[in-house]
Amino acid sequence: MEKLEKDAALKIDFFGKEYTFERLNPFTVKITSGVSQSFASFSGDLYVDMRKDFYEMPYLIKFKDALQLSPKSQLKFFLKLPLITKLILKSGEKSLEIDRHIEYNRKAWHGEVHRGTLCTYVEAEFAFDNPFKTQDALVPLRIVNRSDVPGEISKIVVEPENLFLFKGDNGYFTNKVYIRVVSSNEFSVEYSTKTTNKAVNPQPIIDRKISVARTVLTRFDKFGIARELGL
Amino acid sequence: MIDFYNIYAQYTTTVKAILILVIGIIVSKIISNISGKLVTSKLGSHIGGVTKNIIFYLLVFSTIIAFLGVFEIEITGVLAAAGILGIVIGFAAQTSVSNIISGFFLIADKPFEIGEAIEIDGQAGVVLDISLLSTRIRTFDNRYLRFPNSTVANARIVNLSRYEIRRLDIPVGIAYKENIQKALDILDSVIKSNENILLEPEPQVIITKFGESSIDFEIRAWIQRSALFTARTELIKGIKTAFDEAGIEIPFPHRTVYFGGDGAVEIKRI
Repeated sequence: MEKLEKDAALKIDFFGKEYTFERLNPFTVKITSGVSQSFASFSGDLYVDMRKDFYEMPYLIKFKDALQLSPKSQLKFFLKLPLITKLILKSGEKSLEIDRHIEYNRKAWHGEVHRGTLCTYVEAEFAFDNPFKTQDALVPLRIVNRSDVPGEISKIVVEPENLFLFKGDNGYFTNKVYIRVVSSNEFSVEYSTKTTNKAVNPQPIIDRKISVARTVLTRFDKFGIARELGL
Repeated sequence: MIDFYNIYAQYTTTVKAILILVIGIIVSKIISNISGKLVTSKLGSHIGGVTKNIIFYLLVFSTIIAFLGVFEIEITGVLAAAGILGIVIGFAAQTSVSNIISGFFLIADKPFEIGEAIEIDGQAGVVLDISLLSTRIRTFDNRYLRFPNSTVANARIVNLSRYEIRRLDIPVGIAYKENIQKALDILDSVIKSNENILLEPEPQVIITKFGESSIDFEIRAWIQRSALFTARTELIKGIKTAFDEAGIEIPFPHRTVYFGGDGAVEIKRI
């Protein structure tokens, strides 16, 4: 976060794109990037910052290698979840988005072609014991197979509206997510309000203001779709 | 001081009739509004509006009958006259009645809604309005079309915006001398590098047939409806560029003409 001083230009490199911020008067900021320029009305002490946020549509995270779940077993791992980086101009509680960097532009459809949901497509990267270093977030995920039949997971659909984002000294983390496989076509998903203890000194950045863990029961049937975490 | 009782006794019939009329209309309005809202919440604003109007006019008709009853007017005669009038109007307005009935069917069947892109008898556009008599659309080249509902009800309707994703099918052919696997690999990489194409459901390239002058393929890729034209343009451009770079020929139909006999035919300039 850098302060925008009066009568001084502030240059910011935003993913290879250079932005220059100039404060023309107490109420106006001139923003120049390449040949384009714009003016923003803003007053007070101004700062230029980069903020992480979830993608606006659900994530379809596809596993290259399918995860095999034996009956009455569980898998616990960290799953990489991409984030958007926003360039913002802010003053106190007010903020104005100047630009955003979206790394993952590919999309996928989850569900039947006549009714389903559009998702951001991500190829899975995960770690089983210790969180790996990434600019994106890590989802502490636990999948419990309570059924008596083995299960196979080839993709997971994560709904960002149920996720918190924490910034720790060792990276970004979301709240813990539990998936319980009830049968071959039925499972429940629970979103905790806390993150993993592997996150060092976590500070909440995106707080959903929900005090209780949410449980969502999703059933796959002939005509249904999985809006939550789909197996 | 006004003697209300005396006035009432004197004009009792008139007062009663006016009260029936006023209260009847107010009650009709309230009941039709409530039922309209109820139907709107369940079945949408269009059916809600129609239901509200039907209920309102039925109740107003009942109020008028009650109003006439106060003056001891023979309702049977009025109804008989209304029946005859109805038959006359029915014959005179056959087309309109047919349109109205078709309008009801369209509203109930919901093949499309206001704002959706549709194609009726080969004319494509966005639905502006569905009234009881006609359906109006604005074509993509900005023309205003009005279809009588009876025509719409009997026409082949294609709803272009009912589903969010569409499958884009692009036929492409390569010369018989070319390597099929190489062409398949190139097509696969062109498709997968196009950001408009959804990665799930997975895009497919299928070999369709031995064509007249080419081995024919078909690309089947799912896209967001809004990206249809962009994706098609980019894909065709990408395939042509990639095939040109790889030296793969996209043939056009060839025709060999035989003039008969074994010898060559001499062509002379006249």
